[in-house]
Amino acid sequence: MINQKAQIGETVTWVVATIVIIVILSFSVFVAIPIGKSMKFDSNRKSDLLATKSLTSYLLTKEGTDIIYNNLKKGGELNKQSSERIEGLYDEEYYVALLRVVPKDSYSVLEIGEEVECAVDVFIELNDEKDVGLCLLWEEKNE
Amino acid sequence: MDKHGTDKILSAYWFVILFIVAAAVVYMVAIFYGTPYDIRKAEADAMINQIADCLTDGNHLKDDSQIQKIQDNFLSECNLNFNTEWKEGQYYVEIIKDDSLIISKGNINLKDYCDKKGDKIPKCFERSFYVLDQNKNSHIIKISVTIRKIEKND
Repeated sequence: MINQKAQIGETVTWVVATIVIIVILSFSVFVAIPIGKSMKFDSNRKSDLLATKSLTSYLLTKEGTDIIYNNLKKGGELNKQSSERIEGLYDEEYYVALLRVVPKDSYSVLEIGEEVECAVDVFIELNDEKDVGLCLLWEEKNE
Repeated sequence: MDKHGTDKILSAYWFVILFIVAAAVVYMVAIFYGTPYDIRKAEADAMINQIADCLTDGNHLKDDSQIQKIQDNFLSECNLNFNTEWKEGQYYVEIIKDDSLIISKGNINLKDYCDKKGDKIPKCFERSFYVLDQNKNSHIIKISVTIRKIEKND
């Protein structure tokens, strides 16, 4: 009788342990399934060759008597129409594209409602005080 | 005698549990890492960059004779290879310079899917850039790449 009680006690321990193991495993499997399916390859760029080409070509474009780069260097301002043309090339792909002349080393943080950091940015130095840069932000749908 | 019998049953039980745990771990790993990554966007980006580099010489568009050479022999001039393990063409590339088509290469049938939506269809990617030619005239070059590879991303 005493032996039987001991056997029942041991079996109950194993049954409970089995249930606990199965519950933990099932939970892990059910958690792994949605995580595994939601994993995506991050193909968003950190740099953008085409944006670099566009910006450098834009700065080499003649506007008035000189190229845009020299005009900006002398303190001139960006022509809104032509800069919007460059920004427009990235409108569909990015949430926002901004071409701006900014104080040196400050371009990565911009005021667009709130402070944001450019996902991709291309800078070209104008002088000791200013840079010209193209700041691109990813649209949520590209994530 | 009874004690020995219980031990045997518990040993078998132990192995069953061990097998269940191992099977669950293998299943979780397979679920987690088994889903194929769709890298067509990254592939298209790499291809577009390669084509953009091929069409330009530094910051300038190549001259007409060089562009003609690229038009005539696009794949070898731009160091591209459209061969895949499938018989059916998996790529289509279209290059438009200021609204006029200058290069069209690959499986043109893939283009039909560009305005369709769905997961198991070829993916279309399009990027543009601004460039000056040798005479400092500005141009917009639009590169469209369509990649099929449906089977690999099923």
